[in-house]
Amino acid sequence: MPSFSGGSVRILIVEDDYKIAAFIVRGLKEAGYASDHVESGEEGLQMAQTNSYDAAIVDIMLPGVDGLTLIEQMRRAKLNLPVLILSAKRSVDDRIKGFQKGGDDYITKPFSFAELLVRIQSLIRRASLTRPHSATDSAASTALPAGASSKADAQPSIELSVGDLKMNLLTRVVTRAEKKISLQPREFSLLEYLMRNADYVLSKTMIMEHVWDYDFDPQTNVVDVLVSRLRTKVDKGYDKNLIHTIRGVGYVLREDE
Amino acid sequence: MREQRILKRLNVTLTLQLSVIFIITAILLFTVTYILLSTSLKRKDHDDLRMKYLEIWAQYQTGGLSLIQREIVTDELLGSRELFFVRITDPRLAQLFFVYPQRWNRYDYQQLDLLHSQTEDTVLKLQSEHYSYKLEVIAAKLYDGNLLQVGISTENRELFLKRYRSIFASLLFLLILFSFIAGLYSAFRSLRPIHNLTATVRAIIDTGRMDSRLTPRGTGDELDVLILLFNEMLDKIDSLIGRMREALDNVAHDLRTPLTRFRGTAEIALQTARTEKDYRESLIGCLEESEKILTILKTLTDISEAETGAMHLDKETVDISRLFAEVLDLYAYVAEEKRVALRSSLHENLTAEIDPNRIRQAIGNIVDNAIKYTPDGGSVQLKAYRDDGEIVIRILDTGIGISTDDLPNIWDRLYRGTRGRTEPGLGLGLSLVKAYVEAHGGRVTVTSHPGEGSEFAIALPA
Repeated sequence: MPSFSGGSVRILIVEDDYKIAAFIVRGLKEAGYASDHVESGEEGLQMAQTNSYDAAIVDIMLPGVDGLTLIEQMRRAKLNLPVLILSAKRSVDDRIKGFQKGGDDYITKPFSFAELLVRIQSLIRRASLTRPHSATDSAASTALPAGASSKADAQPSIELSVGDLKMNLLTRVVTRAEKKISLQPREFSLLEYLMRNADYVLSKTMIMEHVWDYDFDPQTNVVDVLVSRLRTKVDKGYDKNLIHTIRGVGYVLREDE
Repeated sequence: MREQRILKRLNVTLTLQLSVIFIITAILLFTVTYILLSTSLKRKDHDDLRMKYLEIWAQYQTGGLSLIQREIVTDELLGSRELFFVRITDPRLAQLFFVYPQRWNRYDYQQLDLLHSQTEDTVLKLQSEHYSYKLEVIAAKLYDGNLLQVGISTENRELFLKRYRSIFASLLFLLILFSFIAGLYSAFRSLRPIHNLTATVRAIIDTGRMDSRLTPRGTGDELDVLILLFNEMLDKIDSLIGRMREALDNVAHDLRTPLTRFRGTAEIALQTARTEKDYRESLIGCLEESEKILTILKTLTDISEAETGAMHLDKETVDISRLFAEVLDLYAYVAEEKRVALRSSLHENLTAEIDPNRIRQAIGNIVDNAIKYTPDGGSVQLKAYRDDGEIVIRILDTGIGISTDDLPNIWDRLYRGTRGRTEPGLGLGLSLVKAYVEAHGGRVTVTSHPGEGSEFAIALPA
């Protein structure tokens, strides 16, 4: 996990289920994010107005003021923090409604915490880039995973690197310990995704969505096959493995074992 | 109940409407008859009066006053005296002759001096407050300048019309009574099927029994059509509920196994685990089971949505070759690892109006199975062509095939087959294919020769 200076990133959690909220708070703390948890939309709005948050995680089904209304109210109050919607429904209509009301991303229950973490992290990163002078800027930049830089960085980096693994985004040349690795397009796309999110566990579903752009339940071992091919090319013959399988969750690219 | 009150109100409204229509018609009929009757009676009276006038005029012409006197006296003696008066004056209105029936004696005959008329065509009237009827008079000059006035009474006519009116009034009263009763009856009769319908619907609402049906009356009228439509709607709702209930049962069934494993893993860990590694292994096991549960849940919801018709399809014109390229791209590495040749052949330019994501997943699921069950060195081939207005997509493999026993059941959600027990999700994968294709109005079929291979076909409306 990346280290954070002072843990100054703060996230608001609006979720009426105490246990879900508790594990999100714990998981975020482990990842270096501070968070506040409230159980209703009314409290959520109040907290968002009195404190400065870098992002909010909002459940749609809330007693009283529901999640969508809360987001609407926050947007009307000129609160522009990125919002990740939690929902028990996964219909396309719900997703669209969520985005229309001003939500920035959407995750369906039950979700893997790894996925939630990656999504919230990328929301914060995106927000800090679109609002470079906002108060959250310095905080958000610390949320970037070590070694990985963003696509649309203020000074766009054309090279990603994790340990001795380097990827040039312009020439599309990948090297490990100065030795060139030749990759096929899908392999390249997977490695880029892993490197951009180094240290973050990516689920099979996320890889499927990102590499093939399909919202598709992998009943298949398509992702496993692709990862194992990539692993052969990246890790075989080196002392240290970079691609790790987190059983039951997904895959992660990181330096330490 | 509310609908009973509304129906009662409707009943009364219908009855009143019927009665009002009935009464208006009756009154209209009476008025027309009355006018016709009274004018024709009046005309007959006037004709009689004119005849009388001409008769007396002729008598005066031939025999003068004395003849008239004689005739009237004879009439009186014979008792055939008709009810009329005769008055003759000289040009200065000095009365020369006047005879009138006794019962008319209270008319003010002085007024007759004012009644001049030029010809015998004009009928004048003489009224009196003592009588309810009038005298109708013709007054015209005789050849010698004297004035002849002949008058009859409207008594008979008025009496007749009066009787007619009173008979009608009592008839009308009976009519109103009758029409109200008839209206009530007819409204009750025509509303009865609606009452039955209401009662049945109420029963369904109260008891939740969706198997109640209405019996059509066999008259083939609008109400029967309504009843038939209503039954059809109930059938549809009933079957939808049935399918949803079945889907729910299937969900419960399919989730039971992984949930048992999940629970068992956690329970055993709590009882037997000694080291951190043991706990870790159990937790990972739980996570993997929960992942499986989630996958099953997602697939089942998709199948149910597609089967019940609740699934929204984002249809667009899709190039089949593009679809094939995407599936090939997705499974290229998997096929390569298994040393199975994955190819597609497409001779013509084919397009179909489909939801590309769903159909791609349907083809993908079949290809996935095909690769899984095709040994090293085998092949999986995709073909598409147009056949009789349909787009047919075929997936052929050289795999182990499906036994004849399993073949009819492979689309069944709960069926795992003999070889599929160790490969969870097989039954669900093919059920999903069937549900998606049928949601598009298409069909799926399969033929297989154990040991040689299988062939799946998806037929979609072009």
